[in-house]
Amino acid sequence: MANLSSAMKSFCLLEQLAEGNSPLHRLHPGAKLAITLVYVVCVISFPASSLSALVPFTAYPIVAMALSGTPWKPLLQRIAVAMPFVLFTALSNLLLNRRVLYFLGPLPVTGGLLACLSIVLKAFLTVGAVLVLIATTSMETLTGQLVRLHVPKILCLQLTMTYRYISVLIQQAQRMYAAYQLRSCGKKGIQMRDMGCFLGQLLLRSFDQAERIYCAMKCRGYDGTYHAECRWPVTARDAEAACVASAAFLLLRVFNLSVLLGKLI
Amino acid sequence: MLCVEHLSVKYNPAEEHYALRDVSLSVQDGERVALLGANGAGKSTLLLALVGILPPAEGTIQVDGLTLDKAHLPEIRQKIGFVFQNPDDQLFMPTVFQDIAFGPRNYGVPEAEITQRTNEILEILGISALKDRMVHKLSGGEKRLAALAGVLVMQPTLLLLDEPTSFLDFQAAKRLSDCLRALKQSCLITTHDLPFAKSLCDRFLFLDHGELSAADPFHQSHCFCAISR
Ligand SMILES: Nc1ncnc2c1ncn2[C@@H]1O[C@H](COP(=O)(O)OP(=O)(O)OP(=O)(O)O)[C@@H](O)[C@H]1O
Ligand SMILES: [Mg+2]
Repeated sequence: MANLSSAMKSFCLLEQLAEGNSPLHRLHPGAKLAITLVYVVCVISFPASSLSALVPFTAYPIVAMALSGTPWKPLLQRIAVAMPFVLFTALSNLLLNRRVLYFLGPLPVTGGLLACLSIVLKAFLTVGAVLVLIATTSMETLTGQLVRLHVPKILCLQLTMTYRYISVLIQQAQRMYAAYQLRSCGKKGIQMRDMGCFLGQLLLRSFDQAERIYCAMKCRGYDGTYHAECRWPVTARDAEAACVASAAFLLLRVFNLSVLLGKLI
Repeated sequence: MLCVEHLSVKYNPAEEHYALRDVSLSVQDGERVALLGANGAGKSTLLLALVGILPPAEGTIQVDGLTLDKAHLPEIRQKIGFVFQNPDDQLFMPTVFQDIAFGPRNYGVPEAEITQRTNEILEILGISALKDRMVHKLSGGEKRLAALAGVLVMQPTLLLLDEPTSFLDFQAAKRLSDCLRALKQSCLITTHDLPFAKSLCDRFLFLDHGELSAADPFHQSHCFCAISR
Protein backbone atom coordinates (compact mmCIF):
# COMPACT_ATOMS: atom_id res chain seq x y z
CA MET A 1 0.00 0.00 0.00
CA ALA A 2 2.82 2.36 0.89
CA ASN A 3 4.27 1.60 -2.54
CA LEU A 4 0.97 2.25 -4.29
CA SER A 5 0.46 5.50 -2.40
CA SER A 6 3.92 6.70 -3.17
CA ALA A 7 3.47 5.72 -6.82
CA MET A 8 0.29 7.80 -6.89
CA LYS A 9 1.98 10.68 -5.10
CA SER A 10 4.96 10.74 -7.42
CA PHE A 11 2.61 10.48 -10.39
CA CYS A 12 0.67 13.51 -9.19
CA LEU A 13 3.83 15.44 -8.38
CA LEU A 14 4.82 15.98 -12.02
CA GLU A 15 1.32 17.27 -12.73
CA GLN A 16 1.49 19.65 -9.81
CA LEU A 17 4.86 20.87 -10.98
CA ALA A 18 3.47 21.42 -14.47
CA GLU A 19 0.83 23.75 -13.04
CA GLY A 20 3.52 26.22 -11.91
CA ASN A 21 3.96 29.73 -13.28
CA SER A 22 7.64 30.32 -14.03
CA PRO A 23 9.10 31.86 -17.22
CA LEU A 24 9.71 28.30 -18.44
CA HIS A 25 6.13 27.27 -17.68
CA ARG A 26 4.89 30.27 -19.64
CA LEU A 27 7.03 29.46 -22.67
CA HIS A 28 5.05 28.10 -25.63
CA PRO A 29 4.92 24.27 -25.52
CA GLY A 30 6.11 24.15 -29.14
CA ALA A 31 9.20 26.18 -28.22
CA LYS A 32 9.94 23.91 -25.28
CA LEU A 33 9.45 20.84 -27.44
CA ALA A 34 11.81 22.22 -30.10
CA ILE A 35 14.47 23.14 -27.53
CA THR A 36 14.28 19.70 -25.93
CA LEU A 37 14.42 17.96 -29.29
CA VAL A 38 17.48 19.90 -30.50
CA TYR A 39 19.14 19.32 -27.14
CA VAL A 40 18.51 15.57 -27.15
CA VAL A 41 19.66 15.19 -30.78
CA CYS A 42 22.83 17.19 -30.08
CA VAL A 43 23.64 15.16 -26.97
CA ILE A 44 23.14 11.74 -28.51
CA SER A 45 24.93 12.64 -31.72
CA PHE A 46 28.32 12.79 -29.96
CA PRO A 47 30.55 9.81 -30.65
CA ALA A 48 30.95 7.26 -27.86
CA SER A 49 34.43 8.40 -26.88
CA SER A 50 33.70 12.12 -26.42
CA LEU A 51 33.19 13.05 -22.82
CA SER A 52 34.63 16.53 -22.40
CA ALA A 53 32.40 17.98 -25.13
CA LEU A 54 29.31 16.73 -23.24
CA VAL A 55 30.19 18.49 -20.01
CA PRO A 56 28.92 21.98 -21.07
CA PHE A 57 25.54 20.40 -21.88
CA THR A 58 24.94 19.72 -18.18
CA ALA A 59 24.21 23.44 -17.86
CA TYR A 60 20.81 23.17 -19.60
CA PRO A 61 18.95 20.88 -17.17
CA ILE A 62 20.44 22.76 -14.22
CA VAL A 63 19.50 26.20 -15.58
CA ALA A 64 16.05 24.97 -16.63
CA MET A 65 15.41 23.48 -13.20
CA ALA A 66 16.50 26.71 -11.51
CA LEU A 67 14.38 28.84 -13.87
CA SER A 68 11.28 26.73 -13.39
CA GLY A 69 11.74 26.14 -9.67
CA THR A 70 11.64 22.36 -10.20
CA PRO A 71 12.99 20.54 -7.14
CA TRP A 72 16.03 18.45 -8.04
CA LYS A 73 15.42 15.56 -5.69
CA PRO A 74 12.29 14.03 -7.28
CA LEU A 75 13.76 14.61 -10.71
CA LEU A 76 16.96 12.79 -9.77
CA GLN A 77 14.85 9.94 -8.38
CA ARG A 78 13.09 9.59 -11.72
CA ILE A 79 16.36 9.72 -13.63
CA ALA A 80 17.62 6.97 -11.33
CA VAL A 81 14.72 4.75 -12.47
CA ALA A 82 16.09 4.76 -16.02
CA MET A 83 19.66 4.18 -14.91
CA PRO A 84 19.79 0.38 -14.37
CA PHE A 85 19.10 -0.26 -18.07
CA VAL A 86 21.67 2.31 -19.10
CA LEU A 87 24.27 1.00 -16.67
CA PHE A 88 23.94 -2.48 -18.10
CA THR A 89 24.82 -1.23 -21.59
CA ALA A 90 27.49 1.11 -20.28
CA LEU A 91 29.25 -1.53 -18.18
CA SER A 92 29.35 -3.98 -21.05
CA ASN A 93 31.44 -1.38 -22.92
CA LEU A 94 33.92 -1.49 -20.08
CA LEU A 95 34.53 -5.16 -20.78
CA LEU A 96 34.47 -5.00 -24.57
CA ASN A 97 36.96 -2.20 -25.19
CA ARG A 98 40.02 -2.49 -22.92
CA ARG A 99 42.48 -0.57 -25.08
CA VAL A 100 44.33 1.90 -22.82
CA LEU A 101 44.24 5.41 -24.31
CA TYR A 102 46.18 7.33 -21.68
CA PHE A 103 47.04 7.33 -18.00
CA LEU A 104 45.44 9.66 -15.48
CA GLY A 105 48.20 9.53 -12.86
CA PRO A 106 48.47 5.82 -12.10
CA LEU A 107 44.94 5.14 -13.47
CA PRO A 108 44.73 3.68 -17.00
CA VAL A 109 41.88 5.25 -19.03
CA THR A 110 40.53 2.76 -21.56
CA GLY A 111 38.26 3.42 -24.54
CA GLY A 112 35.62 1.36 -22.77
CA LEU A 113 35.73 3.56 -19.68
CA LEU A 114 35.25 6.70 -21.77
CA ALA A 115 32.35 5.11 -23.67
CA CYS A 116 30.82 3.92 -20.39
CA LEU A 117 30.95 7.36 -18.79
CA SER A 118 29.71 8.98 -21.99
CA ILE A 119 26.67 6.69 -22.18
CA VAL A 120 25.79 7.33 -18.54
CA LEU A 121 26.16 11.09 -18.96
CA LYS A 122 24.13 11.12 -22.16
CA ALA A 123 21.31 9.18 -20.52
CA PHE A 124 21.41 11.48 -17.51
CA LEU A 125 21.21 14.59 -19.68
CA THR A 126 18.53 13.41 -22.11
CA VAL A 127 16.24 11.93 -19.45
CA GLY A 128 16.77 15.05 -17.35
CA ALA A 129 15.84 17.33 -20.26
CA VAL A 130 12.66 15.37 -21.02
CA LEU A 131 11.69 15.36 -17.34
CA VAL A 132 12.15 19.12 -17.16
CA LEU A 133 9.89 19.41 -20.21
CA ILE A 134 7.18 17.29 -18.55
CA ALA A 135 7.58 19.07 -15.22
CA THR A 136 6.93 22.43 -16.90
CA THR A 137 4.27 21.45 -19.45
CA SER A 138 0.96 19.72 -18.73
CA MET A 139 0.24 16.52 -20.60
CA GLU A 140 -2.71 17.90 -22.53
CA THR A 141 -0.76 20.94 -23.78
CA LEU A 142 2.03 18.65 -24.80
CA THR A 143 -0.18 16.21 -26.72
CA GLY A 144 -2.10 19.12 -28.25
CA GLN A 145 1.21 20.46 -29.50
CA LEU A 146 2.26 17.06 -30.81
CA VAL A 147 -0.99 16.86 -32.80
CA ARG A 148 -0.27 20.28 -34.29
CA LEU A 149 3.16 19.03 -35.27
CA HIS A 150 1.42 16.25 -37.22
CA VAL A 151 2.57 13.43 -34.96
CA PRO A 152 0.06 10.62 -35.78
CA LYS A 153 -3.10 11.31 -33.80
CA ILE A 154 -3.45 7.71 -32.73
CA LEU A 155 -0.09 7.96 -30.94
CA CYS A 156 -1.15 11.16 -29.20
CA LEU A 157 -4.42 9.58 -28.12
CA GLN A 158 -2.55 6.53 -26.81
CA LEU A 159 -0.29 8.85 -24.85
CA THR A 160 -3.19 10.81 -23.36
CA MET A 161 -5.14 7.72 -22.44
CA THR A 162 -2.20 5.80 -21.02
CA TYR A 163 -1.29 8.80 -18.92
CA ARG A 164 -4.85 9.27 -17.72
CA TYR A 165 -5.43 5.60 -16.91
CA ILE A 166 -2.24 4.96 -15.01
CA SER A 167 -3.89 6.90 -12.21
CA VAL A 168 -7.18 5.02 -12.59
CA LEU A 169 -5.29 1.72 -12.42
CA ILE A 170 -3.29 2.76 -9.35
CA GLN A 171 -6.45 3.99 -7.64
CA GLN A 172 -8.23 0.75 -8.53
CA ALA A 173 -5.37 -1.27 -7.05
CA GLN A 174 -5.34 1.01 -4.01
CA ARG A 175 -9.06 0.49 -3.37
CA MET A 176 -8.78 -3.28 -3.84
CA TYR A 177 -5.81 -3.42 -1.51
CA ALA A 178 -7.55 -1.35 1.15
CA ALA A 179 -10.60 -3.61 0.97
CA TYR A 180 -8.33 -6.67 1.16
CA GLN A 181 -6.46 -5.32 4.18
CA LEU A 182 -9.67 -4.58 6.06
CA ARG A 183 -10.65 -8.24 5.80
CA SER A 184 -7.26 -9.87 6.18
CA CYS A 185 -7.04 -9.84 10.01
CA GLY A 186 -4.12 -7.47 10.19
CA LYS A 187 -1.75 -9.56 8.07
CA LYS A 188 0.86 -7.47 6.29
CA GLY A 189 0.84 -7.26 2.52
CA ILE A 190 -1.00 -9.60 0.19
CA GLN A 191 -0.67 -13.28 1.06
CA MET A 192 1.02 -15.37 -1.60
CA ARG A 193 -2.06 -17.59 -2.02
CA ASP A 194 -4.26 -14.52 -2.71
CA MET A 195 -1.80 -12.82 -5.03
CA GLY A 196 -3.04 -14.65 -8.15
CA CYS A 197 -6.67 -13.72 -7.48
CA PHE A 198 -5.74 -10.14 -6.66
CA LEU A 199 -3.73 -9.58 -9.82
CA GLY A 200 -6.23 -11.51 -11.92
CA GLN A 201 -9.09 -9.37 -10.62
CA LEU A 202 -7.12 -6.21 -11.25
CA LEU A 203 -6.42 -7.32 -14.81
CA LEU A 204 -10.04 -8.32 -15.48
CA ARG A 205 -11.37 -5.08 -14.03
CA SER A 206 -8.92 -3.11 -16.14
CA PHE A 207 -10.04 -4.96 -19.28
CA ASP A 208 -13.68 -4.36 -18.41
CA GLN A 209 -13.09 -0.74 -17.72
CA ALA A 210 -11.11 -0.31 -20.94
CA GLU A 211 -14.07 -1.72 -22.82
CA ARG A 212 -16.57 0.53 -21.06
CA ILE A 213 -14.38 3.57 -21.67
CA TYR A 214 -14.25 2.75 -25.35
CA CYS A 215 -18.05 2.40 -25.44
CA ALA A 216 -18.42 5.73 -23.66
CA MET A 217 -16.12 7.33 -26.22
CA LYS A 218 -18.11 5.89 -29.10
CA CYS A 219 -21.32 7.21 -27.54
CA ARG A 220 -19.83 10.69 -27.71
CA GLY A 221 -19.03 10.48 -31.39
CA TYR A 222 -15.49 9.10 -31.29
CA ASP A 223 -14.64 7.63 -34.68
CA GLY A 224 -10.91 7.05 -34.35
CA THR A 225 -9.81 10.65 -34.81
CA TYR A 226 -8.39 12.64 -31.96
CA HIS A 227 -9.34 16.29 -31.84
CA ALA A 228 -6.91 18.10 -29.59
CA GLU A 229 -6.94 21.84 -29.37
CA CYS A 230 -3.89 23.91 -28.55
CA ARG A 231 -4.92 27.54 -28.38
CA TRP A 232 -1.64 28.96 -27.28
CA PRO A 233 -0.43 31.79 -29.51
CA VAL A 234 3.27 31.80 -30.37
CA THR A 235 4.84 35.12 -29.36
CA ALA A 236 8.08 36.64 -30.65
CA ARG A 237 9.64 35.87 -27.26
CA ASP A 238 8.85 32.16 -27.63
CA ALA A 239 10.43 32.04 -31.08
CA GLU A 240 13.41 33.99 -29.81
CA ALA A 241 13.95 31.67 -26.86
CA ALA A 242 13.69 28.58 -29.06
CA CYS A 243 16.16 30.00 -31.62
CA VAL A 244 18.71 31.19 -29.04
CA ALA A 245 18.68 27.93 -27.10
CA SER A 246 18.84 25.77 -30.22
CA ALA A 247 21.68 27.86 -31.67
CA ALA A 248 23.60 27.57 -28.39
CA PHE A 249 23.23 23.77 -28.41
CA LEU A 250 24.33 23.54 -32.04
CA LEU A 251 27.39 25.72 -31.33
CA LEU A 252 28.28 23.55 -28.34
CA ARG A 253 27.85 20.51 -30.59
CA VAL A 254 30.28 21.89 -33.18
CA PHE A 255 32.85 23.51 -30.87
CA ASN A 256 34.17 21.70 -27.83
CA LEU A 257 33.86 24.37 -25.15
CA SER A 258 35.87 22.36 -22.60
CA VAL A 259 38.85 22.14 -24.97
CA LEU A 260 38.58 25.82 -25.92
CA LEU A 261 38.56 26.87 -22.26
CA GLY A 262 41.46 24.52 -21.57
CA LYS A 263 43.49 26.18 -24.32
CA LEU A 264 42.72 29.63 -22.91
CA ILE A 265 44.03 28.58 -19.51
CA MET B 1 -38.91 9.71 -29.93
CA LEU B 2 -37.95 6.26 -28.71
CA CYS B 3 -39.79 3.09 -29.55
CA VAL B 4 -38.66 -0.33 -28.36
CA GLU B 5 -40.51 -3.44 -29.46
CA HIS B 6 -40.11 -6.94 -28.07
CA LEU B 7 -36.48 -6.38 -27.17
CA SER B 8 -34.53 -9.30 -25.73
CA VAL B 9 -30.86 -9.13 -24.82
CA LYS B 10 -28.37 -11.82 -23.82
CA TYR B 11 -24.86 -11.16 -22.54
CA ASN B 12 -23.74 -14.56 -23.70
CA PRO B 13 -25.46 -15.88 -26.85
CA ALA B 14 -24.55 -19.44 -25.87
CA GLU B 15 -26.48 -19.17 -22.59
CA GLU B 16 -30.18 -19.57 -22.03
CA HIS B 17 -30.39 -16.64 -19.62
CA TYR B 18 -31.80 -13.39 -20.97
CA ALA B 19 -30.71 -10.16 -19.27
CA LEU B 20 -33.76 -8.56 -20.92
CA ARG B 21 -36.78 -10.41 -22.21
CA ASP B 22 -39.50 -9.11 -24.51
CA VAL B 23 -39.31 -5.47 -23.42
CA SER B 24 -41.57 -3.01 -25.26
CA LEU B 25 -41.71 0.66 -24.34
CA SER B 26 -41.89 4.09 -25.85
CA VAL B 27 -40.82 7.56 -24.78
CA GLN B 28 -42.57 10.54 -26.37
CA ASP B 29 -40.98 13.85 -27.30
CA GLY B 30 -40.17 15.85 -24.18
CA GLU B 31 -41.31 13.08 -21.87
CA ARG B 32 -39.29 12.14 -18.79
CA VAL B 33 -39.56 8.48 -17.89
CA ALA B 34 -38.06 6.77 -14.85
CA LEU B 35 -36.91 3.20 -15.12
CA LEU B 36 -37.04 1.52 -11.74
CA GLY B 37 -36.14 -1.92 -10.54
CA ALA B 38 -34.05 -3.89 -8.10
CA ASN B 39 -30.30 -4.44 -8.46
CA GLY B 40 -29.58 -6.68 -11.42
CA ALA B 41 -33.05 -6.16 -12.89
CA GLY B 42 -31.56 -5.13 -16.23
CA LYS B 43 -31.86 -1.32 -16.18
CA SER B 44 -28.30 -0.61 -17.26
CA THR B 45 -28.53 -3.43 -19.79
CA LEU B 46 -31.55 -1.78 -21.40
CA LEU B 47 -29.75 1.56 -21.70
CA LEU B 48 -26.67 -0.12 -23.18
CA ALA B 49 -28.86 -1.83 -25.75
CA LEU B 50 -30.52 1.49 -26.65
CA VAL B 51 -27.19 3.00 -27.72
CA GLY B 52 -26.18 -0.10 -29.63
CA ILE B 53 -23.46 -1.25 -27.26
CA LEU B 54 -25.25 -4.52 -26.56
CA PRO B 55 -26.79 -6.04 -29.69
CA PRO B 56 -30.40 -7.18 -29.33
CA ALA B 57 -31.01 -10.92 -29.53
CA GLU B 58 -34.54 -10.16 -30.70
CA GLY B 59 -36.71 -7.11 -31.24
CA THR B 60 -36.24 -3.64 -32.68
CA ILE B 61 -35.27 -0.22 -31.40
CA GLN B 62 -36.26 3.01 -33.13
CA VAL B 63 -34.96 6.46 -32.26
CA ASP B 64 -36.60 9.43 -33.96
CA GLY B 65 -37.92 7.11 -36.66
CA LEU B 66 -34.48 5.58 -37.33
CA THR B 67 -34.11 1.86 -36.77
CA LEU B 68 -31.04 1.00 -34.74
CA ASP B 69 -28.74 -0.90 -37.08
CA LYS B 70 -25.18 -0.57 -38.28
CA ALA B 71 -26.03 2.02 -40.94
CA HIS B 72 -27.92 4.35 -38.57
CA LEU B 73 -25.75 3.87 -35.49
CA PRO B 74 -23.60 7.03 -35.84
CA GLU B 75 -26.68 9.18 -36.48
CA ILE B 76 -28.56 7.64 -33.56
CA ARG B 77 -25.61 8.09 -31.22
CA GLN B 78 -25.52 11.75 -32.13
CA LYS B 79 -29.15 12.05 -31.01
CA ILE B 80 -28.65 10.19 -27.74
CA GLY B 81 -26.72 11.42 -24.72
CA PHE B 82 -25.77 8.55 -22.43
CA VAL B 83 -24.42 9.03 -18.92
CA PHE B 84 -22.81 5.85 -17.60
CA GLN B 85 -23.47 4.45 -14.15
CA ASN B 86 -19.81 4.83 -13.20
CA PRO B 87 -18.33 8.24 -14.11
CA ASP B 88 -14.82 6.76 -14.23
CA ASP B 89 -15.89 4.90 -17.37
CA GLN B 90 -16.73 8.13 -19.04
CA LEU B 91 -14.19 10.71 -18.00
CA PHE B 92 -10.93 10.01 -19.72
CA MET B 93 -9.47 13.29 -20.90
CA PRO B 94 -7.02 14.87 -18.45
CA THR B 95 -9.05 17.94 -17.46
CA VAL B 96 -12.75 18.58 -16.95
CA PHE B 97 -12.89 21.15 -19.75
CA GLN B 98 -11.16 18.84 -22.19
CA ASP B 99 -13.46 16.00 -21.32
CA ILE B 100 -16.57 18.11 -21.80
CA ALA B 101 -15.19 19.37 -25.12
CA PHE B 102 -14.47 15.81 -26.34
CA GLY B 103 -17.95 15.11 -27.71
CA PRO B 104 -18.56 18.44 -29.49
CA ARG B 105 -15.06 18.32 -31.01
CA ASN B 106 -15.84 14.90 -32.45
CA TYR B 107 -18.86 16.42 -34.14
CA GLY B 108 -16.87 19.37 -35.46
CA VAL B 109 -18.47 22.11 -33.35
CA PRO B 110 -16.36 25.31 -33.66
CA GLU B 111 -14.00 25.98 -30.73
CA ALA B 112 -15.62 29.28 -29.75
CA GLU B 113 -19.00 27.60 -29.47
CA ILE B 114 -17.54 24.68 -27.50
CA THR B 115 -16.06 27.09 -24.96
CA GLN B 116 -19.33 29.00 -24.68
CA ARG B 117 -21.46 25.87 -24.34
CA THR B 118 -19.04 24.36 -21.80
CA ASN B 119 -19.07 27.47 -19.64
CA GLU B 120 -22.85 27.55 -19.75
CA ILE B 121 -23.27 23.93 -18.75
CA LEU B 122 -20.67 24.23 -15.97
CA GLU B 123 -22.56 27.26 -14.67
CA ILE B 124 -25.92 25.46 -14.75
CA LEU B 125 -24.54 22.43 -12.87
CA GLY B 126 -22.74 24.71 -10.42
CA ILE B 127 -19.28 23.33 -11.13
CA SER B 128 -17.56 26.25 -12.88
CA ALA B 129 -14.73 26.00 -10.37
CA LEU B 130 -13.87 22.51 -11.63
CA LYS B 131 -13.26 23.61 -15.22
CA ASP B 132 -9.49 23.21 -15.26
CA ARG B 133 -9.21 20.52 -12.60
CA MET B 134 -7.67 17.11 -13.31
CA VAL B 135 -10.50 14.59 -13.55
CA HIS B 136 -8.75 11.95 -11.48
CA LYS B 137 -8.55 14.34 -8.56
CA LEU B 138 -12.29 14.96 -8.34
CA SER B 139 -14.60 13.51 -5.73
CA GLY B 140 -17.23 10.93 -6.72
CA GLY B 141 -20.01 13.52 -6.96
CA GLU B 142 -17.87 16.00 -8.84
CA LYS B 143 -16.95 13.29 -11.34
CA ARG B 144 -20.63 12.48 -11.77
CA LEU B 145 -21.46 16.14 -12.52
CA ALA B 146 -18.52 16.45 -14.92
CA ALA B 147 -19.67 13.31 -16.76
CA LEU B 148 -23.19 14.77 -16.97
CA ALA B 149 -21.81 18.03 -18.32
CA GLY B 150 -19.92 16.10 -21.00
CA VAL B 151 -23.20 14.68 -22.26
CA LEU B 152 -25.46 17.72 -21.82
CA VAL B 153 -23.02 19.87 -23.78
CA MET B 154 -23.75 17.77 -26.87
CA GLN B 155 -27.41 18.88 -26.74
CA PRO B 156 -28.82 15.42 -27.49
CA THR B 157 -32.51 14.96 -28.26
CA LEU B 158 -32.81 11.95 -25.96
CA LEU B 159 -31.01 11.63 -22.64
CA LEU B 160 -30.30 8.25 -21.09
CA LEU B 161 -29.11 8.64 -17.52
CA ASP B 162 -27.94 5.62 -15.55
CA GLU B 163 -28.41 6.45 -11.88
CA PRO B 164 -27.58 10.12 -12.24
CA THR B 165 -27.95 10.86 -8.53
CA SER B 166 -25.57 8.21 -7.23
CA PHE B 167 -22.64 9.93 -5.48
CA LEU B 168 -24.56 13.24 -5.36
CA ASP B 169 -25.41 15.12 -2.19
CA PHE B 170 -28.92 16.45 -1.65
CA GLN B 171 -28.17 19.90 -3.06
CA ALA B 172 -26.42 18.64 -6.17
CA ALA B 173 -29.25 16.16 -6.78
CA LYS B 174 -31.76 19.00 -6.47
CA ARG B 175 -29.73 21.16 -8.87
CA LEU B 176 -29.56 18.29 -11.33
CA SER B 177 -33.28 17.70 -11.05
CA ASP B 178 -33.96 21.43 -11.70
CA CYS B 179 -31.57 21.38 -14.62
CA LEU B 180 -33.20 18.32 -16.17
CA ARG B 181 -36.66 19.78 -15.65
CA ALA B 182 -35.60 22.88 -17.55
CA LEU B 183 -34.52 20.80 -20.54
CA LYS B 184 -36.89 20.16 -23.41
CA GLN B 185 -35.29 16.83 -24.28
CA SER B 186 -36.82 13.44 -23.58
CA CYS B 187 -35.16 11.53 -20.75
CA LEU B 188 -35.05 7.91 -19.74
CA ILE B 189 -33.61 7.75 -16.24
CA THR B 190 -32.74 4.65 -14.25
CA THR B 191 -32.58 5.32 -10.55
CA HIS B 192 -33.03 3.96 -7.05
CA ASP B 193 -33.72 7.49 -5.80
CA LEU B 194 -37.51 7.52 -5.59
CA PRO B 195 -37.96 11.14 -4.41
CA PHE B 196 -35.78 12.26 -7.33
CA ALA B 197 -37.77 10.15 -9.79
CA LYS B 198 -41.10 11.32 -8.38
CA SER B 199 -40.13 14.97 -8.51
CA LEU B 200 -38.86 14.79 -12.06
CA CYS B 201 -40.55 12.12 -14.12
CA ASP B 202 -43.91 12.01 -15.86
CA ARG B 203 -44.08 8.23 -15.97
CA PHE B 204 -42.50 5.19 -14.33
CA LEU B 205 -41.53 1.84 -15.75
CA PHE B 206 -40.61 -1.09 -13.60
CA LEU B 207 -38.16 -3.79 -14.62
CA ASP B 208 -38.23 -7.07 -12.80
CA HIS B 209 -35.73 -9.81 -13.68
CA GLY B 210 -35.32 -8.43 -17.17
CA GLU B 211 -39.01 -8.03 -17.88
CA LEU B 212 -41.07 -4.88 -17.93
CA SER B 213 -43.67 -5.56 -15.33
CA ALA B 214 -46.11 -2.68 -15.09
CA ALA B 215 -47.45 0.27 -16.96
CA ASP B 216 -50.64 1.13 -15.12
CA PRO B 217 -50.86 3.30 -12.01
CA PHE B 218 -52.00 0.54 -9.71
CA HIS B 219 -49.00 -1.57 -10.54
CA GLN B 220 -46.76 1.42 -10.23
CA SER B 221 -47.75 2.04 -6.63
CA HIS B 222 -47.33 -1.66 -6.02
CA CYS B 223 -43.85 -1.47 -7.51
CA PHE B 224 -42.99 1.56 -5.40
CA CYS B 225 -43.83 -0.45 -2.34
CA ALA B 226 -41.77 -3.35 -3.61
CA ILE B 227 -38.62 -1.33 -4.01
CA SER B 228 -39.05 1.07 -1.14
CA ARG B 229 -39.47 -1.81 1.28
N1 LIG C 1 -20.95 -7.88 -18.53
C1 LIG C 1 -21.88 -8.75 -18.11
N2 LIG C 1 -21.80 -10.05 -18.44
C2 LIG C 1 -22.75 -10.94 -18.05
N3 LIG C 1 -23.81 -10.61 -17.32
C3 LIG C 1 -23.97 -9.34 -16.95
C4 LIG C 1 -23.01 -8.33 -17.33
N4 LIG C 1 -23.42 -7.16 -16.83
C5 LIG C 1 -24.56 -7.40 -16.17
N5 LIG C 1 -24.90 -8.69 -16.23
C6 LIG C 1 -26.10 -9.33 -15.66
O1 LIG C 1 -27.25 -8.81 -16.29
C7 LIG C 1 -28.29 -8.57 -15.35
C8 LIG C 1 -28.74 -7.11 -15.43
O2 LIG C 1 -27.68 -6.28 -15.04
P1 LIG C 1 -27.77 -4.70 -15.05
O3 LIG C 1 -26.41 -4.18 -14.87
O4 LIG C 1 -28.53 -4.30 -16.25
O5 LIG C 1 -28.65 -4.44 -13.74
P2 LIG C 1 -29.19 -3.08 -13.17
O6 LIG C 1 -30.67 -3.17 -13.17
O7 LIG C 1 -28.58 -1.94 -13.87
O8 LIG C 1 -28.70 -3.17 -11.67
P3 LIG C 1 -28.18 -2.02 -10.69
O9 LIG C 1 -29.37 -1.35 -10.13
O10 LIG C 1 -27.45 -2.79 -9.64
O11 LIG C 1 -27.29 -1.12 -11.47
C9 LIG C 1 -27.71 -8.96 -13.99
O12 LIG C 1 -28.17 -10.22 -13.67
C10 LIG C 1 -26.22 -8.99 -14.20
O13 LIG C 1 -25.64 -9.96 -13.38
MG1 LIG D 1 -27.20 -0.50 -13.34
